[in-house]
Amino acid sequence: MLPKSTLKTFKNKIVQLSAIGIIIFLSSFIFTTMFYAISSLEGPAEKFFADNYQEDFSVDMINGLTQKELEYAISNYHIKPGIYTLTNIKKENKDLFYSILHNREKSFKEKYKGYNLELREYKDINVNNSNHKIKIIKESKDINKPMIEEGKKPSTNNEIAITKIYAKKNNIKLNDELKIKGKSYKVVGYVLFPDYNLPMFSSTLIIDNGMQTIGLVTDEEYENIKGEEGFHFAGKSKGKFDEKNFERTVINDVKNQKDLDYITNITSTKNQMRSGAVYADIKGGKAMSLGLSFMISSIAIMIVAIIIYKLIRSESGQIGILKALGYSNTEIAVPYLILILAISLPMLIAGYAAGKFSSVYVRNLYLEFYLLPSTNIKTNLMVFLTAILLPLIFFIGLSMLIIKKMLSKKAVDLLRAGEKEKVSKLNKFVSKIMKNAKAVTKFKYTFILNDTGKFFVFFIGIAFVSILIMFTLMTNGLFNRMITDYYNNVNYKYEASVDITKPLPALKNGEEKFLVYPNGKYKDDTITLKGIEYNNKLHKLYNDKNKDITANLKEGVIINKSFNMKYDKKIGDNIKVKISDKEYNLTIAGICEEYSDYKIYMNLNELSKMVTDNKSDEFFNGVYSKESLDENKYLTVANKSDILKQAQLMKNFTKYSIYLLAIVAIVIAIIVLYILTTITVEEKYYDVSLLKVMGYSDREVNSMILNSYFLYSILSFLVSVPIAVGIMNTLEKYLIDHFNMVLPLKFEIWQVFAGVIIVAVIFFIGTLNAKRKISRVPLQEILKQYRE
Amino acid sequence: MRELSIILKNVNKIYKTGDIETYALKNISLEIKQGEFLVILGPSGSGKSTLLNVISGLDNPTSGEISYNDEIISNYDSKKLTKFRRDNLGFTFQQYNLLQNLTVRENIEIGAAIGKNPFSIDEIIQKVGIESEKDKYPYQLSGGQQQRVSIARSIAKNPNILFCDEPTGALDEATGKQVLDVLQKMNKEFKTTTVVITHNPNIALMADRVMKMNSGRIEEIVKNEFKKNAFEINWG
Repeated sequence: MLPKSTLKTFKNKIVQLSAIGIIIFLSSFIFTTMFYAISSLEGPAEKFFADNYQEDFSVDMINGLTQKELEYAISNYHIKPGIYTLTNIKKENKDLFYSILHNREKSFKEKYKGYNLELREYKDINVNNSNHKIKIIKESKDINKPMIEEGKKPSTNNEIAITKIYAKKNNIKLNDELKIKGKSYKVVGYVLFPDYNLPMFSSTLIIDNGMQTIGLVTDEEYENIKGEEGFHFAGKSKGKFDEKNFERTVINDVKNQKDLDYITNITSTKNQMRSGAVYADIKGGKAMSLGLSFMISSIAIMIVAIIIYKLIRSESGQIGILKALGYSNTEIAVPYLILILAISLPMLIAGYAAGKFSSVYVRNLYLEFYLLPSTNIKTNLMVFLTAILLPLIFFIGLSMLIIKKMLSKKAVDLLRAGEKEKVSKLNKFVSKIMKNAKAVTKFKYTFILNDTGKFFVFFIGIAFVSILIMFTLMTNGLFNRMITDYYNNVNYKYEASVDITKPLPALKNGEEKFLVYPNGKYKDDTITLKGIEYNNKLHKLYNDKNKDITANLKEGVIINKSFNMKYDKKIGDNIKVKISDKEYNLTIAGICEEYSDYKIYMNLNELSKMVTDNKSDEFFNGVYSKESLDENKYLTVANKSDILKQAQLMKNFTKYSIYLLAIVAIVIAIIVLYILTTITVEEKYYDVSLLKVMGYSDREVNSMILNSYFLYSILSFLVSVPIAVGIMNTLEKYLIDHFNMVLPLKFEIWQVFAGVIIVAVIFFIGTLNAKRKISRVPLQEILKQYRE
Repeated sequence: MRELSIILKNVNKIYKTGDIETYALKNISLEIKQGEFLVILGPSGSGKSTLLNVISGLDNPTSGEISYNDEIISNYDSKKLTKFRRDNLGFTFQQYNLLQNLTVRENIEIGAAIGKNPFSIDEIIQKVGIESEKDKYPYQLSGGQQQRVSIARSIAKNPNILFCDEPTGALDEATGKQVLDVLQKMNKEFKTTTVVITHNPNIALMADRVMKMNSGRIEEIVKNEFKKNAFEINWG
């Protein structure tokens, strides 16, 4: 009998309870999806890194020679004095190259005895007749050893191993042919490298594993193949790697070591995008899923608590009678608990099941970007328990607490309950602030504050959702700012790097030269210096107001936005930049809206003089053109449209993830408003009836009962704006500090207006049912039914 | 002097349950005069509240005609009825239905806010004798005080007619008499037509006229030759 009456009560609340069910489902779903997806990557990735000796750190070095090395080369290898890069020395004199590199390695190991170094050599090449790129990495012996996922390692000069995802996306099977630089290679295996699990080929975050791959060929073939070559050292601790100790004893110490002046940068793996971003992504993904689920669960738990409290309070008379009749507390409580269990358990299980199913897709999405071994997703007891049992314990525990508290009252008190409603301190406080307001206005904006618990849930719920909405808005145009805006702003279509071991090429009409020096130093950090002509036509620089500021190069240098954000430098500031051993004092004459790399633009002639030690003001190592450039004439030729095409995947990925986040946020907000406003109308049933009887119109009653939700929703949103901006700043700082990466999230005032509109729409949808309920409250109710 | 009359002609209210028709009101004809204190008396289920609903425009009659100052209101739609109530009527119920988050004064203001020609709030507060309670919240008041606030709220907008449904139903004798005294005072001083519904025959002694109802019909309408004041009546 008793369960039947409780069931009837719950039936009347079916829509509210279903809405809570959706929130419960979402919390379990998000947690399960993310945790399964991430843990299916984490385990195999850790094993892969350990088995293949992933580097603990990497050492970037100047591509030129130090004074000491130049003297060594002149006296031992009889080369002429001049400017040399490691790339051209390797081409001209391999013995000298390896001798210099060996000396560099030796000097490091002598100074820091607990660590080993190994040279990493790689070449970036365009795949024939396509906009695809391949990074051929020379096989290492001790650190960052390649892993063959399928097939075998190349053993002859016409064999190659590539990434499995590239092969899959381009329909390349084992033993198929792949043409690179006019030569056909047989694909004999699928390869992974532990130091390139995020295949970043440049400083821009363009990752499309369908258009770029990592490759492994024989050592001999590596040397034969033509491409833009780069070097760095991979490092590994002889014992267990201690990040903090390494930072203290090596990273901070190396700048004081004169013998190690060839080093431009030392980065531990955890702070290295190409090898360590996965650690942060796993950590961040776990934190985000846990945080989001926790927040969503908390909202669900609080709403459930409110509903149960209201239900039991509204039935206190009935419960009082039951107690008076001799029913025990347990007999009365059990049907409530069973019904709460009946709603939450299926939703949690459904969320878990749907989460496990979708985790495969999320894992695959991760594998679109990360080059990691994939495994099947296995059921994990801990995830199961955390996704289902933990929230369930909270739901039941909290419900029990509320029920126990209500049932602890005497039957007589329960029968009398609800006669008088006290006024909360918050209500009184706001009432005082609104001292001179009309009573109608006061009623409108204070009655919601009378139930502090409900108001808290509502306010926090909307604030949480608002933060997500603000975040969505702040990421608007993120990828455009990071990559596409830059390429869309420049007028060149092709960009070539010059082989400086050969005489500089003669430029055709319409072609423009530039000089890029990636080893500049500012405050011990490596920065890029780029020389362009102040009156050039193909690479104009624009500020944040889209004004052409290229001509400012006559007055000083132009820093890019990343440089400005990282070092907080403004126009008019002086900066000291080091090129090789020489320091130059530069004045900032402009900030251009560009986010790739930390870059300083200078007049080409000046940079040429600095790089060539005043020997030439006409040196350049790159060419821009609107017309296609001859690939045989240059080391590499990049097509702007190819880069933009490559950026599309990342752009779509960012766009859709953000849309998904926004949809989840909006659904939660609608549910929160829907439940709380309908509860309010139910609670204020008699007040609504009274106001209507008195002669207030439906519109006026709607405004009196619901408008406060609108005002406080907007208030909650406005409170969340600085919180969201604070989180954004922290995140930006974290990424700059830990990954040297600028994430140009942007806060603009229009976002606040857009947010207000979104909140208004959420309010409109979320309160539709409450409005309908208000219009249905009968006038006679106030006469017929009296509160018990 | 306000001119007022409410005229009911052959008013019926029928509730249907399947094929069964139940007459809640049967052939009611009545005229309520301006400034009158009318008590509608009858046992539970006699149709008192239904009558109040239809007179006050809270419900439409099944048949018959209700006019207010020659304007037929029984055909009004809900919007027009709302306006009619807003401009002309005040209500007091057995339960006080005060807005819990507003003070006494603010509750009265809510009533006055929709009146075309409302009374001064302070004057009303003083008339109902709750000056010292004006800044208190409903939970801080006794039942009698709350009912006085409820009356003050209904009267504050200066309605032409005040409907009171069992206004003393939840009160003890002493407080009940105080509340009736307030109603009588309002009727006298403001000439507000007052219709009180009660099952307590003693209250009928305060009325100008008493209408007795039973089974949805008017049993009789009696004019009181010697009206008593609230404190002179016996309670039960």
